Amino acid sequence: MADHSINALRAAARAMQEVVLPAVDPSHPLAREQAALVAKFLSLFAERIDHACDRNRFELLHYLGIAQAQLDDARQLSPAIADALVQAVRAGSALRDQAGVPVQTVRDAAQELAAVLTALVRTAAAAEAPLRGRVEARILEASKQLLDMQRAWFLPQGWEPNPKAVPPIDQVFDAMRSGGRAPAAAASG
Amino acid sequence: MSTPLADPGLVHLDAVRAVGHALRDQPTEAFVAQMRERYPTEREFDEMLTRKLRRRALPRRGGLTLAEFSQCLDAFLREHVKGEFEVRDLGWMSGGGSKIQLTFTLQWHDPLAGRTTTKLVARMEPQESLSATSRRRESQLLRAFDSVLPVPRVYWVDADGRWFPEPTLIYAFATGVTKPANVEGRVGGVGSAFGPRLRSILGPQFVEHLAKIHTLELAGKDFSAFDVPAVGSTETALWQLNRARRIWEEDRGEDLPLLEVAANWLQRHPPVLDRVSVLHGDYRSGNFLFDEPSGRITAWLDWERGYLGDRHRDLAWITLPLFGNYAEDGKTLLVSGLVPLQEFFAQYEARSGLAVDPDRLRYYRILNGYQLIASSLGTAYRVARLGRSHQDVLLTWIEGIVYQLADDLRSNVKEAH
Repeated sequence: MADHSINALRAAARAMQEVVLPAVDPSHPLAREQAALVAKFLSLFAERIDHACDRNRFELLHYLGIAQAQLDDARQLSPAIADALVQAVRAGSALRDQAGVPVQTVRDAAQELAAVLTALVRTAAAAEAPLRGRVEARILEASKQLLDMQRAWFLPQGWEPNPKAVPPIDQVFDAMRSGGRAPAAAASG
Repeated sequence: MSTPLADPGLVHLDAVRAVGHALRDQPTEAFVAQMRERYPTEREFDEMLTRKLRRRALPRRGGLTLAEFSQCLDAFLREHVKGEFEVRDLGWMSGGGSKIQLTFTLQWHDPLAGRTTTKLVARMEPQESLSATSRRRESQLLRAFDSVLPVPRVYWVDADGRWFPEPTLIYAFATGVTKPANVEGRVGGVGSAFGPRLRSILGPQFVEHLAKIHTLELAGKDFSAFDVPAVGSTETALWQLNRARRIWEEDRGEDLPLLEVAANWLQRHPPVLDRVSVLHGDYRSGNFLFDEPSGRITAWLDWERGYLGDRHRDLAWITLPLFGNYAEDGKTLLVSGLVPLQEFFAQYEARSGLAVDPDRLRYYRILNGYQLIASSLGTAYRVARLGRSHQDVLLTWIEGIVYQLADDLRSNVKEAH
């Protein structure tokens, strides 16, 4: 049996737009506003559902790349954080190379990496300027790709003042699949 | 035998791992105390954030009905109105994600106007808000600008939620629209497209009113719910930074290393305050009403984020690309959809007599990005997860603004790094 989720989501969005919204009490603007948002959410999910796994995998690869690039400096800053980073990288790398991993498992591994990197940046705040600068610069540099992906994800919501500045979502994930993205950039000092 | 040096990372690693969903969903008194100690801020902010955490442990209340609100309103008015009164046309309002708003008509004896009929707005906290702010402060700001700017007259404040389920402000209903009738706006009226005619009328008022806010004399006004930061110090920047960091720490559902890098930078570079100004806190299109035929601004609303501090915070907020849009040429960024960015600061300096310092502007642009991300990704997630507001679906929708803000923050920190 085929997966008809997109068809169902589109039908649900249409039902909201064409049947439910016109019937909502016009004197209840809060209800009208929320019904419209529900319709928009359904449309957004219909457009994005095929990419849900890609999105989580992208985040995992993103944090894996940064974590690997930070390892040497993490050892200088804190053995405990360096150990935690090594373990998180090991766990994340195993998932990267494995097929059929549940989305939540991928999400948890990415968040573990982000948590250890958070502790690393907080520790670096009290370090000598060159070391701190390298740790921070890697995150500043690498975050661009993650943010581009998220902006592409939410583009249909219409918040972007200049939508042309945001890469198309297919292009973002095609690049990830072909290994064309560089998760962690070199430190600039 | 020498003692091995303590690992400085252990404390941070433990702290990050110790605070997860369980603690943020059901904060303990120890956690509340830790937040208050780690992130000192203004007294009223501290009180609001502390109240928020303590009440988070209470059971979810669910949706409020008009009948329930009507009962509270009736009890409140019996206490505050002398003589006979009648409430009519009670109904919900939309707009904004942080407060529950209802409108009603009151037939009563107004001590200032005699027997009359007044259309009013009740502005109440949900069980937990996107922005834990003070109705007492909001009412003081509205009263301070009563004869200076078009603002609704404040009638009553239930600052502690004695009569209503949560703290509530009651003020006059203001007429006007937030955007032109033929424009489909974004949520909250953010970045509306006004068109050349309205821009030419609204733009000068927009700058003029801001100048009046920032140059208001504090003497003789009641600002008892505010702390006044010391001029010549970095106090105001650090109070505001601590407030934003505390919010992120209390509410977030994920870790975001980029935000930590920004916090490090902000902590290292707080600017010195040169002059105490009143700040609106959310000065942009969507938060003023205007009469569409004449283009006259009829009311400035949503003062809940206002405080006393550095005008550059407001200026940096107002000029965020998120709150603007591009003119017909596709290149000129219009501040709040109204004034070309290049002209905005010059007009502001001319009208206010106050200088605009690019370094302080950059600091507050980064802080604003941090604050908006903390609210839109952290608080919005937590409140919706716990089902605590009347606008949970809207709160989840605004995640969409986070990533362009984060990219803007990233660019600015990188440039300053």
